Parts: sequence; C-alpha cells; structure tokens
Amino acid sequence: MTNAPAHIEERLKRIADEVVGLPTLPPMLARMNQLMMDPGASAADVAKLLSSDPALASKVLRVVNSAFYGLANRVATVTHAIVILGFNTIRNIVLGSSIFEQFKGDSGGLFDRTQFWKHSIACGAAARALGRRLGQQHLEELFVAGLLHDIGKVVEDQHLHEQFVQALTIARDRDCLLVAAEEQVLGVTHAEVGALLLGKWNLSKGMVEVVRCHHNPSVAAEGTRTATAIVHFADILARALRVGSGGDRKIPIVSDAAWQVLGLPLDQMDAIVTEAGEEIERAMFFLDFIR
Amino acid sequence: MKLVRLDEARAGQLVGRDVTDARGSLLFKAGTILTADLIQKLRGWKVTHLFVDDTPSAILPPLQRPAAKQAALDRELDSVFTGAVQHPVMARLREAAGRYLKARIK
Repeated sequence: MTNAPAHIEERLKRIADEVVGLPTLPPMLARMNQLMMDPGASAADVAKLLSSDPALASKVLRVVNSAFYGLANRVATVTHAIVILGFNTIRNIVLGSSIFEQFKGDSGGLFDRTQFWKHSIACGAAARALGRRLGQQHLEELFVAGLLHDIGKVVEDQHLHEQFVQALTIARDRDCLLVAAEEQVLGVTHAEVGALLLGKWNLSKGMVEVVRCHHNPSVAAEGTRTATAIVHFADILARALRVGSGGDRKIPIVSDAAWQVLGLPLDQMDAIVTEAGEEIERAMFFLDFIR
Repeated sequence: MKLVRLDEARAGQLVGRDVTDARGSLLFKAGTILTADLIQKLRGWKVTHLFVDDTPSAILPPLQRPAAKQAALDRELDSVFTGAVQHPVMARLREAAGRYLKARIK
C-alpha cells in the first residue's frame, strides 16, 4: 500500500487495528465510484444517482455555479453540470462535500475544526492555482488532494485524541511543526494516517501518494512527483497567506527537490501568490458546507 | 490599559499584555489586534480575561488603523517565517505574501 519504512508500516498497522472505527467511505461516493467504473454508464445514470440525495444535488449545483468555476451561464440541472464539467469533476465535488459532511463538528480545545477546514480549502485552492500555472490537466484532483492533505489530523483527533492533543501542545509550546511533534508522540504523522484512510477508501494511488508525501515530497513515487510538489508548496502558500490553521503556526521550508520539480522562476513569486490568494478567496464558499 | 473579561473584548482592540495559557505558554503577543477569529480562538483555549490597551496612544484614529494592522501583519509574518527566510524561496515568499496581504488591509 505504501513505501513507508518497516517500523512506520508496523506502527500504522497497529493504528489501523486500534482505530476500529476508521471512517468508511461515504456511501454515495462508493456508489458513484462503482458507476463510473461501468463503461456503459451515462451522464443520466450519474445524475439519477445524485438526484437521489437532493441536499447533495443542490450542493453540487451551488459549487458548479460558484465563481470557483466561473461558468458563463447558470447550470440548472445535475445532468447539465455533468455534461459541462465531466464525471471526474462532479465526483470530486461530491467527494469534497461528503468529506465536510463526514468530518464536521469540533472536538474543541487546541484543534479548531473551522480553522482546519479553512486551511485545507486554501491548500486545495492554491494547488489548483499552481496546477493551472504549470499547465496541469487535472486541476480538480489537485484541489481535492489539497483539501485532503491533512485529513489524517482529523482521524487522529477523533481516534487518537489524547496523543494528538499532546502533539498539538508540543507544537504550540515549542513553536514547531505539528508533523515533528506527531513523530515524537505517535511515531507516525498525519500524512501517513491520512494516506491509510484514503487507501482504505480506494482513492487513486496518486492521491494517496500525494497525501502521504506532502511533507516529504522527495520520496514520492515516480509519476506523482509533480502533484506532490504542488500540494507541498500549496500548503506553504496557504500558511504564508495566513488562511486558517492546520494546528500549528510554523511554516515548513520548501523542499529543494519539490521546488526543482515545480521549476517556478523566483521572480514570479508575486504573481504566484496573487493567483493563489485569489483562488483561495473564490474557494472559501466551501466553508458554508461545514456549518 | 485595562483587564477585561473575554466576552467584553471586541475585534479591533489592541492586546495590552502577552496572553498566556494557564501554564504560562505564550498564546498571543501584546500589540496584536483582536479579531473575531482571535477572540473565538481564545475562547477555545479557555482564556477568561485579557488586558486591552485603551490608553490614548493605543486608541488610534481610524486613518492610522491600516498602518497599525500592517505593522501587526509584519510582526506575525516575521514570527511565522522565523528560521525559514534563510532559504531564498521562503524569503521571496515572505515578501510577496506581505505585499499581497498588505494591499488588502482596509
């Protein structure tokens, strides 16, 4: 499943065993994945499935008609949305909405879930902006990968709460990155725990790898290095722009390997920051879904 | 400067003294401008009281507020980027983020 060293694999296996109730894939998404693997399925079939959950269907239409997609004309039906934006985009919108639904709520204390989602949305939006600048094809997948990059923190908060709070406290008191504190307290990081969850959900191997390696992009598998480098730097951009919080306030230093993969000229930093900042502003309406 | 209950603190006020948790760990530095988000955060951290600076020099006329906000932003970015700006990419990012955020301060 992962290329993690043996001791981490062992620790992860223990966590997977301990965490009996690892959240399951939202049922709508499971059915949608199934339908999308069926070569005979049409836009109407997907629309019929989506329309069976009117609340979700209306969320999809709100997202499709938002400034985030900037479509010239208003889209009134789910079928029309699928035709215009494609199955993958619609599935990713459903994925995003289902994730918010599944993980909303707040455990209180040091880990503020609203701030967490703000940071996650910002990272997704910054990844989408970077992807566009780099001429990447799959902007929606970059958005979702950014949105989910820290999902392991929510799993830790829900299932390994005491140790997670201990890690948050260390990160705050020593003003260090949460990922370093997690290594110390849990022996694994949210990146690995997140990858464990997404692997269990059968999300694409690429998505799992990006989440697993977003703090250590130099070890990402061949074929996922660009996406990993994008999400790695998008996380840094979201922190630099002070949008939300993933539970720590420190900023990671960009990996030289990732920066090389991105190949972005330093003198374009103002444009990069502006594009990311504006994309983040457009994406913030996703926050309505968690309220 | 006066000590107020957290529910009396208002966005836009200046934090008069460093805010620490029960164990004395620093949460926010004096000079930070309170925002709704910050007050919410302090509530989450179970802070019940804090000092706000209401001396005449701290109560800035509206026209000076953006300058104070810009200074607070610089302090925040400096603190977040501590140790990172030795890296040339991070140094550029610190500057570009500062310019972007300052341009949006009202």
